[in-house]
Amino acid sequence: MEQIENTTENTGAEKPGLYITRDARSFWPGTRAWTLFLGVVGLVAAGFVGLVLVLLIRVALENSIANRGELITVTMLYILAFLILAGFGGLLLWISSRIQLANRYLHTQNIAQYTESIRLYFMIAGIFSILTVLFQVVSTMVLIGD
Amino acid sequence: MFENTEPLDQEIQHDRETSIPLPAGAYGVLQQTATWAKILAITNFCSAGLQLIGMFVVLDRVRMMLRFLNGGSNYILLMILVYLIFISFTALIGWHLWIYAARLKSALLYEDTDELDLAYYYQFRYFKTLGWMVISGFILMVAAMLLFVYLRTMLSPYSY
Repeated sequence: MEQIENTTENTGAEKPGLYITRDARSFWPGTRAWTLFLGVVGLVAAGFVGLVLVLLIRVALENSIANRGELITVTMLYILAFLILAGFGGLLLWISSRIQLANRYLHTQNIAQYTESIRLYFMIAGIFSILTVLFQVVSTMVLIGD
Repeated sequence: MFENTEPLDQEIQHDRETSIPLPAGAYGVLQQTATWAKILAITNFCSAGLQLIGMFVVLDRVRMMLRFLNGGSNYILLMILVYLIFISFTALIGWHLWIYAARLKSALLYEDTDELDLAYYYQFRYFKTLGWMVISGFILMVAAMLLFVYLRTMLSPYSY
């Protein structure tokens, strides 16, 4: 009889609201470490691309290059790669810092910021991914038709 | 009697301390995150498929070029291996994202905290797989550079 009463009580609260449990938070340090790693890698890669870009511009200014159109295309591609790598690197480092703050202080505002940073990351990554797939479709079609 | 209730109260307080209610504004943000994660998962699956098509086309071209090179079939096998590594990683990332989005949507729909726990787990798995893909890419890049140096040294007497 007592058991039935308990069951009735439990089903009464159908939507108790979401909680961030200790189990969920146990994954945060791992996520933070990987985002930190990816962010650092992104920024280092952006640094290398930037270095190549500087050397490319320096060589182009010192020597007279016959095919300027090709040079401008290559430079633009390098600038694009630099911006993407630096942007994603910075974003991932920012996410990493948000996770660290949320995990350390367990404050509602920090958790909200962590959630917001992840949303921003998936939104930007999603847009880039759509563009990449479109580029891949075109390049695969060119490759097959060639 | 008081001795019995005291630890129980502490236990309840401890549970309340460890489980934090999700901020009210986070529900909508998580909903959007799930949608974008699903889009990203679909694009990852598409990308894996396109890479597979690209592999067959590129290998067909490279096969013609490498037939005169001693041990050319080994290089084709190496290329297949590299392609398969990246295709597997892309598909795996897509799979993790798909489950992440599904868990997140389910957690929000049924207000199930266990599903939210799993969503955070798959978020961790996604970043972990992405990290390993970057590490593998770096190792393969170094290996490709070494192979390039070796091939250039080996082919240099025939270059002129």
